[in-house]
This record gives sequence, C-alpha cells and structure tokens, in this order.
Amino acid sequence: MKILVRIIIAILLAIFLVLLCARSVHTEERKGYSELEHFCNGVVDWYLLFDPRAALMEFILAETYDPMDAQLKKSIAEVYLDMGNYSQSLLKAQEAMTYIDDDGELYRIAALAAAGMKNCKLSRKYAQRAYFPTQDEYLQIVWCFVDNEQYSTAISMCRNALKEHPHSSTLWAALGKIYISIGEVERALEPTKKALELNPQDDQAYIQLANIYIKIGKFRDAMKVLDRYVHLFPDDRSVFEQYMERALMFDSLRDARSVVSRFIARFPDGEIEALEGYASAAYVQGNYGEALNTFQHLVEITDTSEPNYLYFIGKCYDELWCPESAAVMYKIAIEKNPSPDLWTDLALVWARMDEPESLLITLKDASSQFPDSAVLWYWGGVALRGVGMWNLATHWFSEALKFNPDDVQTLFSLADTRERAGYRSESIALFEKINQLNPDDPTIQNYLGYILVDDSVRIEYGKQLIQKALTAEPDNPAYIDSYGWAFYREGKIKKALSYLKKAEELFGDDSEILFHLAKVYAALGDIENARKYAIKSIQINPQYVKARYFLQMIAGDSDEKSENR
Amino acid sequence: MKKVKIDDVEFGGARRVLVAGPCAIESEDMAMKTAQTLAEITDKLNIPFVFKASYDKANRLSIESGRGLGFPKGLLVLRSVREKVGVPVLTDVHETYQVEAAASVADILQIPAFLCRQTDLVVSAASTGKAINIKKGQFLAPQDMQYIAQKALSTGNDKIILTERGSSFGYHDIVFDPRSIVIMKDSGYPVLVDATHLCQQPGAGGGKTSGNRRFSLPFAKVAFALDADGIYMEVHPDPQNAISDKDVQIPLNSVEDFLKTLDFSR
Repeated sequence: MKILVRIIIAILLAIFLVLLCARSVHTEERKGYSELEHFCNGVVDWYLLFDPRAALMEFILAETYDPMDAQLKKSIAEVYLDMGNYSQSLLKAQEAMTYIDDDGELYRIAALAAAGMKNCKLSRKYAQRAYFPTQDEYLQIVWCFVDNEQYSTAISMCRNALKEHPHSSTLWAALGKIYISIGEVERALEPTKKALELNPQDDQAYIQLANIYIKIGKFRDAMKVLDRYVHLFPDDRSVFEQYMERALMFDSLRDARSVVSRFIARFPDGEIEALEGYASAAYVQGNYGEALNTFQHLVEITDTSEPNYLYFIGKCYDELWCPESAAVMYKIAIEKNPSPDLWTDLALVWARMDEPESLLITLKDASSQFPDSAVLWYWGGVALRGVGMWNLATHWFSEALKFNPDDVQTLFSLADTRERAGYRSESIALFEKINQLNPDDPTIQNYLGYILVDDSVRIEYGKQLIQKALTAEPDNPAYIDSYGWAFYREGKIKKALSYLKKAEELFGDDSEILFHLAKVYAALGDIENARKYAIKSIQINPQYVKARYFLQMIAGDSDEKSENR
Repeated sequence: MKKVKIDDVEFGGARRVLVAGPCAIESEDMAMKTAQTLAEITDKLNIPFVFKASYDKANRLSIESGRGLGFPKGLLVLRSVREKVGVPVLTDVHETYQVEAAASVADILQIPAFLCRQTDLVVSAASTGKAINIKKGQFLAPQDMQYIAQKALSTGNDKIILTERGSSFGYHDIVFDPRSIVIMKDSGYPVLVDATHLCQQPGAGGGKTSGNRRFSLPFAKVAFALDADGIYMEVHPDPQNAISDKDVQIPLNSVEDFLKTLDFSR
C-alpha cells in the first residue's frame, strides 16, 4: 500500500517536475537550470527509480549551485535517513535548520535521525517541534528511550501522545509492548486490549494479548484470543501452529483435539506434524490409551514403521501395564534403529515382568552394541537390581562408574545394591563417599545415618547425620523414623516409640515404619501391638522378609504365653 | 584465492587486471580522453581494465597543491566516463559523508594508504556493498593488512582487493619490498601493485612529491613475477603539467609500449 502511494506521488511529481524543468530551460539562466536539473534527476531517482544513492548524488550536486538552499539540504537529510545514515542525515538537517526553523518535516527528519543514532534526548527535543504523518514514526523515538532503558520517559511520551490521539491503536499497542518489555505484564493488558478494540484487524495485538494472558497464567483467555485470531486470519499458519502448540500444552485433550482437527482441515500437509504433537501431549498428560491410538494411526497413515512411533507405542503399552506388547514394540524399534535408550527400556520391561533370562540376553546384546554408553550400564544395573541379581547389578553399576567415577546417582544405586546384597561395610564406605561429594543432601545423610545406627557400630555419628537431615526437613517421616530407630538401638525404647508414632502419623503406609513400631512394642512387652504392626507392615509389603520372620517369632512367643496362662 | 568480479573484469582471475588513470580529475575533457585512450589500448591488448581517478586529492602535502574538481563535481565526471566509455570506475574516498555519493558512481571504492587504519572510513565504504580496494599504508607491515581487511569483511562485504604502494624509507623516500606481495597474497584476497606510487619520493620536491618513473616498469615486472593480480598505475596526457605526481605518472602516449612488455596472462 505504502509503495503504491509512493509510486502515485512519484508519477505526479515527475510530471510536475518535467513541466517545471521544460519551463526552466527557457527561462532560467544556465546556472539555475543545472541546479534544477540535478534536483529533478534526484527526485526521479528517488521517487520513481527508488535509487536513493543516485538521488543523493544529484541533490549534493544541486547543492553546489546553491549552498544555502535549505530545501535541498532537507532533501539530502531525508535521503540519508532513508539509507540509514543517521549521522549524515542529522548533520544536514541541522544545517537546514540554520535557514528555516518552522518546518515540522525538517524536525521530523532530525528527530528520527537522532533516534537512529540512539541520541534519545536530542531526538525528543526535535520531536516536540516535528510533524509526524504517522504514529509509527513517532514511536521510533519512543523506542529509542526503551532501547536505552529509559522506560518511564517512553511511557510518558506514549501517554502524552495518547492524549492527542486517543484512538490510535498503534500507540495503545506500543504502550502495552513497553510494559511487557519492563516485565509489568499485567499493566500491559489494558492497553493491548484497547489496541485490539480500536483495530480488530491488528494481528500483532492478538499475539501480544495472548502472550500477556499466558504470562499472567490466564491460559483460557489466551486460548480464546488465539481462537479469534485464527478465525480472522485462517491462513497464518505460523500463528495457527503456535495456537495448536499452546492448546496441546494448556487445554484439555478434547479441546486440543478439536484445534488439531481444525488445523489439519486447513493445512492438510501439516497432518503428520499435528498428530505427532497431539500424541506426545496425550502421552505427557498420562492419557496413554489416546497416545497409543494416535501413534498407531500415525504408523498407518505414514505407512512406515518409524522407530520413534514404535518406541512411543512401546512406552504407552508399558504404562498401560501391557509389558509383553511393550517388549515387542521395543524389539521392533531396536531392529530398525537401535539406541541405548531403547535397550534400557526393554531391559526394564523384562525386570518388571521378572524375566531374568530375557533380561540377561537383552543386556548382553545391548552392551556388545553400545559398550561405551554409561546410561546403558547404569539402567542395566537398575534392571538387574530389580530382579535381585545383586552381584551382576554391582558389575553393571561399576562399569557405569568408569565413565564418571563421582556420579552420585550411580554411586547411590551401587551402595543400595551392596546393602541389599548384605555387604554392609562396602555400602557404608560408598555412602560415606557420596556424603563427601554431596555433604548437604539430607537424603544421603539419612540413608547413611540409618545404616550406621542400624549396624549399632557408630550410633552417635549416625544420629548426628540424621539430625542434620531433620534440620533440613523436620517433617520428613523417613528421617523421623530413622531418628526413632537410633533411640531403639541405644535402648531408649520409650523415646523411640514417640518418634516412630510421629512418623506413623505422617506416613502410616510405610512398611518399614510399621515394622519398626512392631519391634518397639515387642521390646516394651506389648506383643499384641507388636503383632498388629507386623501384620500391617506385611500387608503393605508382602515381600518384606524381616517383618515376616519377626511375625513368626512373636506369634510363637504369644502362643507360648497363652499356653502357659 | 578469492575473486572479485566487476562486470567483465575479474580480480584474481585468469588474466591480470590493469587499474589506470590520472591521479586527479583535472577536467572532464582530460579524464574522458585518458579513459577513452586507455580503453582502446587495453581492448587491443586484451587486458581487463578499470579506470581510476580521484575526484578530490584531499591528502596533499601543501595547502597550495591542487585537488582536482572536488566533491561532488568530480564524481559527475566519473559517472560520464563510466557511461560514455563503458568501463568500470575506481575512485578513492577520504570522508565518510562522501562515501554514499561516491558509491553511486564508482564500481570500486578505494581507501587511501594514509587512511587505511581509519575504521569508520573502511567500514562505511565496505557497507555500501561496493568492491573495496585498500591501499597498504606506507607505514604498515604487509602482515597487518589482514586486520584492515577484517574491518571491511565485518560488514559482510568480501569484495576486497589489497594494493601494495611501497613503504616509507627515512625521509622523502619510498622503497618497494617485493616480499609484501607474497605476504599479502596469504590473506587470500587479490593483490595489486601500484607501479607508479612505488616510485614516489614524498616531499622531496620542496613542499610537494617528486619521484622517478623509470622504475615503474621494472617494478611491474617484479610484481608479475611474484604473481600479483594486477597493476595499478597513474597515467596522464601531459605529466609535466599535472597538478599532482608529475614525476611518476606515465605519459599517456607511452602506455601502450609499457603494457606490451608485460604479460597479463597467468
């Protein structure tokens, strides 16, 4: 539009100038004609041929005939401005000001040139006397202040301009934008809404408003704005994609599905991408059935067995407690494009299915294919630990540690495995190393402290570690349980009972806390309560061997006492 | 090796280039005559040719020395040469405010040797997108030209040409160190050798520059022997009455013989 207007003006101007030049040939002296000729050439170069560099040359030549011609200087300044040479533009404009001082356009050029040079103060000074045909140009000066982080000045300039032009959507939108750039997002809301109200076709204002709503947590409002936008500008694919992306992030799956369907209807070539986004969102939101169906649909419509789709189908089956199907999918995906992650997931499925033989075959193949993957060695260890293969798990964790000897997660898993395997001294040494590496981690302090007190060797040091953990998290039931257990090991049974009861109040479904309580009641001679807590502990974790053994012990005791009675 | 192409002339290409013309534009007739003659000779000898001339000799020793037609009228003459003779045109710029206007007529903007370290000038000239010929300062080590070229390159413009024009030697003299050609070529940009300015003796003429043009031809031969990409030389129809460099400019009527003794092929 702007170019069209420029062309029309240029044509009219050219006709006028040609007539003027023709007249000048007859009436002007040679000197005057040359100046006019260069000026005319410059106008034609600029407006008609869009060649500002050639126009500049002509205006400069014209100026040599009349070095005091302010209009020529103004033209030169404007060409320099057009070319982005702000310093020369400002210099020429200032030269022209020595001859004319009431030309709003000249001040406009000077103000814009100064703004281009980031001399905001000077720019504002000239802007006060300038005539701006559009608010966009005025805003260049406002943005100069924003760029210089002089936000209050920028805001007051915007507000002052709004007093004169209260219906300028550009100004309202700019005000909103300034508030956004200084982080005052809530204050940006009203100006942006106003901008949109004044100009419902302002595409940028929609985006701005949607972003504001998202930043202030009003996702539903943001979605409404984006919905209006895509209705108004249905061909703007980029915004539609953003809308869909946000719908997948914030909306219910059903609403997101509707947006995705609309997108696919508008842009059929974007179907795959849209469905991939939808399937991933369904997976992330835990709707594994929907995710599974969508990934399966993707396999059908693409007519390919894209390994990534198969992998996610496997993950969905895994989450839906269909480990056999998950394993099949992982195996197909591995055949197509093996990766340590895929092998790891397959190994964990075997562990969950308690199929040690398949697990060992999988890990053998995986480790021969990716011997340098620390991730594989670590998760292989986790899978082996899951099926109770302590020594092999120890080997896999040790291999993982070769890549990063101080990796706390792996050290922790190894220490835990050694503890479960019955190698307490090794476990203690490893936890001490972890504690040195991470001296402020309450989980590690509690773990090491508990083992030490349970071992009844370094109870005092163990208690200190548990106390440290409790200082960090005073209401953590696991830490309170450990502390109570320390008193039990010291023989302070009543103190132990009070801590363990507190732990039970906070988390009564923990088999270990309940087992500890059973032991404490037994020590106090309260066999009924001891039996009650032991049974509760076993009900929660039927595999808890210690509790089962203890229950057998006290059941015998109890029967014996009953018989004696 | 990078190549810089302007119309049919390729710096760093299969044939070496001649950049020649008067030191300063003294009049439109003189510039046109010189350009026309040089165009005919180079056409006959199949030498890629670029016309050079300064519209304003701004770097004179004395206030008395002539500067030519000046800015911007000298540019008008260059534009006429370009349009009427049909050859690419090179001119030097001394002020940043003149750069855009000069770029409107010239195909190559030249950074004068004295000003080669002026960052603003180099950057504003390169920003026009035109090819840039940077003359090595008489005070500058050839190795350091890579940094000057980087200034131009920082604008995204890689149409860069480097020119050797000698090194200051004590007072009132210039020497030519041919190693500079080899060193500057390491930068990867085309390298020209200014066969006439190498013969200058700055200030030795009592407030003006003198020199001895008899060394121009041997210097040009040395340049080509060391694989220079072209020769830069100043030519005047009447050197004795030239407003500048009268002792080193090559007479227009001897240019053809001069060029015939050089092999412009690679």
